Amino acid sequence: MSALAGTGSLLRLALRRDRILAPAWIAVFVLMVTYAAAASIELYPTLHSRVTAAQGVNGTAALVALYGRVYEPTIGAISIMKMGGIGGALIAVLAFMLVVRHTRAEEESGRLELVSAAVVGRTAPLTAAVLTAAGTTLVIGVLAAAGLTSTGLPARGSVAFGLAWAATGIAFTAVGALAAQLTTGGRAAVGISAAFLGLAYLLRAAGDTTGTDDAGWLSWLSPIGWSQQVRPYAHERWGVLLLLLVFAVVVGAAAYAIAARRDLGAGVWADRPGADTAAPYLSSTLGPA
Amino acid sequence: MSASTAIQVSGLEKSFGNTRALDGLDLEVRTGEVHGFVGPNGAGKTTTIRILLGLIAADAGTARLLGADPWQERVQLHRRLAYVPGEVSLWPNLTGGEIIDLLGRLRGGEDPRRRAALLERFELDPTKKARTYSKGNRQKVSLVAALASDVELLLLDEPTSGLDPLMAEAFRDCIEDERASGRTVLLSSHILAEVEALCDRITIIRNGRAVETGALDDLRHLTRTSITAELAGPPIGLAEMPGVHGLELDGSVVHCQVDSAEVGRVLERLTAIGVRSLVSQPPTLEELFLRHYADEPSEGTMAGPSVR
Repeated sequence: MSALAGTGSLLRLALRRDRILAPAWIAVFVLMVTYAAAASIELYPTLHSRVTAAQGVNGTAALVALYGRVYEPTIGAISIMKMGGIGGALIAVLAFMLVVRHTRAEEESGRLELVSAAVVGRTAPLTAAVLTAAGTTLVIGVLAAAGLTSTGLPARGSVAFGLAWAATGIAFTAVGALAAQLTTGGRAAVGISAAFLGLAYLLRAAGDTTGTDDAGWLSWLSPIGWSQQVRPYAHERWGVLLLLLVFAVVVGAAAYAIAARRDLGAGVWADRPGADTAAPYLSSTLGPA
Repeated sequence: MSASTAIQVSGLEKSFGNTRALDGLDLEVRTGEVHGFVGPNGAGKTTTIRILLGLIAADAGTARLLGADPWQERVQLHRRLAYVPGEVSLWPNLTGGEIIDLLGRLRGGEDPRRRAALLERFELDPTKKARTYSKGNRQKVSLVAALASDVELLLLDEPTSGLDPLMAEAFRDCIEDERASGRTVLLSSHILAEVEALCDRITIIRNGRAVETGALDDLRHLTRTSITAELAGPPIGLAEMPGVHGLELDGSVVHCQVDSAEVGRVLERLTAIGVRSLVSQPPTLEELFLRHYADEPSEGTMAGPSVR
């Protein structure tokens, strides 16, 4: 496929540029979730203490909105309470920041023009960026599962948690990939992705707090909601992972369709012309005051 | 399209929003020639080169590059060409050498001996991180990467705009070598001396249209030769001759510009009066250029988009 020519070299370039950043992020996420689990195991030694903790969270609307529900009073479910929702959102941020960094930001800087004039296919830069971002979150997911298992938590739930993180990362890799096709600026693409993430988190919060004992339907409109509905350590629902992956494929396909057709440097949303003269508040000394 | 044509563009149009960057551009570059692509900022030079690279799609018109469609067969074509952009931005954390190799690898290989020779010629230190490079040095990185690869066609977009005169000279030598080895070069520039020194043929572009194209010698017919002569007698009748412009008299010395077609007759007349000394200068590209761009000043303010 000539549209993908050069992907390998571009992937190596991306990994070379991220050789410090990516391992650092991977370490932060994996250590964070492993220490959280280890600390929780010490904190809630008895079933009674876990039931109290679970009821405490589920009974407080503010905490449900912030973290999501605890679906079973298992030590695993309590351990990853904060890591599922908030941790998942942080994974999402990492994913779309990475993909925008290697696509639209490169394009905006003009470096992609230099690269694209070589033997590089039209969708090769996007593919290299997607592989970098999705690969990074996949590594985090796998190592997080290993870290959780190493604390003594059930392997089944640990794998479900790791995969939920990775699938969230892949879903938001696709979000970043699409946002990067819409705007001409890297910052704007990050902004659009972040706005989408904020909306997803709000929908999940609304869904989780409106449902009784279970997530309300609003949570099922949100990729962050799906991520939590995998329910690690609480009768895992593996099928929900598929929902995240289907979302990633659909959004990613839209990104590819645009990238294969559009001009280098252009976005779906054209730049609007700026002001031709400075506004009064910029043109006088005391104006900004 | 024959094998002797490297680039064939006709009726090319491209708009960015309300800005019309190309408005029916025609351009023909023959295989093996160094072709100057001359015009003021915003005339559409960069847009044309980007279309030729298949980076952006034309709205209308056709472009053929080495016999193929640049948008459809972009990857295959890029194996056969190299490009130097006008604004070179590099990865700040990579060294110049790393970037040259990266671009070489992306293009499918570079010649290590040529790379070394070019680094020496351009006096570029490949071990420095790109963040420390000046504009000129960034441009050298891109030039070395392009010239070190074995390609048929070079597309150069104002490649010397950041180079000092010494390096611009080194660049000229390189282009002479490229010409000698049979490569085709499209050189966009607004440095007229450079184009004049290097190019076999030129195309002048303005507001997205080719206004003039041909060998420099042919285009010179369109302009005036400047003549300074010290005469033995008064220049009677000279001012009334057709094709004589801006006649000035300074004692026995006359200055004037003469339409190239009339030079012979004017010289005859001068000889009849009696010439003590004569200096004539062929028209420079500068003059060609100024005439074209001075003609329609109102349109000049509407020059193309600010594509970098």
